[in-house]
Amino acid sequence: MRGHWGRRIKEAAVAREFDDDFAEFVTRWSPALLRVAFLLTSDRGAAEDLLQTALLKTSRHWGRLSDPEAAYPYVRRVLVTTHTSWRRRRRVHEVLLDRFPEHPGSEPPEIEAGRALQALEELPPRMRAVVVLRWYEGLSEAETAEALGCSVGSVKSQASRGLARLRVLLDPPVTTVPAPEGAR
Amino acid sequence: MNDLDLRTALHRDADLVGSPSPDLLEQLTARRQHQRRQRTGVLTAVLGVIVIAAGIPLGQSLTASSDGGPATDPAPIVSTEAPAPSTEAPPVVVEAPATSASAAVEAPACPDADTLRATLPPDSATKQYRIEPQDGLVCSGSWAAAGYTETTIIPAGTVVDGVPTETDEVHPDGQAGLFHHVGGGWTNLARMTHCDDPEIPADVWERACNVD
Repeated sequence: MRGHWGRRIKEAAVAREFDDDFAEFVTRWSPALLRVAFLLTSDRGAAEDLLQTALLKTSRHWGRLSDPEAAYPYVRRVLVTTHTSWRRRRRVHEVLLDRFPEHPGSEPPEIEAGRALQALEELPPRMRAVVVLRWYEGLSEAETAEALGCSVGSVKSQASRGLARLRVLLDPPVTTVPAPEGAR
Repeated sequence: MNDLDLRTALHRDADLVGSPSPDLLEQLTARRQHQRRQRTGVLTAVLGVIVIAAGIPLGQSLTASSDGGPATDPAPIVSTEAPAPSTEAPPVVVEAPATSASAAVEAPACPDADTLRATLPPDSATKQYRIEPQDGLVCSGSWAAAGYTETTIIPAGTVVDGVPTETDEVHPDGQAGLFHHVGGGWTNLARMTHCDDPEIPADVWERACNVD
């Protein structure tokens, strides 16, 4: 696999479109970035499009990113802000549907595969980004605020509301055991 | 649902996306090259139109100078507009250096970041602009290109996604700027409408127009 990617790096370098460092960065970090993009979009095609857009935007400013360690947070930020701006433009055409009933009936206690992704779709873009950065990327509130260009207080409130909303969507219903007949 | 449940679910669902396409780098390269081809095609088309437009009067004047009686055949010359440009094209190319030479005489000094910043809108409570010369400030003749940061500020109290912001939020966004020296001063041009201008030097066009 590594050899395959190494060949890709060389091919891209031959094409002279990108710096070798940038090609190396793409090779190394695109799997992680794609997963973040997927959590933001819930769609593989859209995630790939978002990732490519973010990478092309970053390539323009690659010279400014002298420290490769700083590149991942930078691209992640571009990814999140680009997605937020896409959603902002498309929001007027969207109608959010409550696909999850308030009382979903008999659900198993654990969260089913794919349901967290579906639940994320119910969140507004900024709130969704906060949830992804805090609970998937494991960023602190301050780091999340920096990534989103907003205040820590805003992250706190968005995280709190996002988590509350996800609980409603994902938590199994509180099953009250009916009292046996005649019991009192 | 506790924090650990959510983390576990998010990691599991994120993995559903699988691996990036092994052709990702090629796709990025193709996307860039596609943009370049599109713009080159537009440039070529614009150049073709200019050559044809310039070729018609030149053809007319050549015919008139070689012919004794110009007054009798203006109409036939106009009617042969299609074949004429292809044969008259080389003389028209000769005219191009003359115009670029006159432009070179008037070529202003390469603008600095402050000069280019002055062409952008003034900072306001919600928008701020900063030229980024470290991203590459390119100038050639009366044209220049530079990256700049357009920062959007969302004031505290603005409702975003249903939640009022507690403090001012700052959202910087990198942009590419195309600048032209006209009328004794520099001006910022909209790339969407001006990047097809064939007078833009290649290096300036590359920096300002051949980007996302």
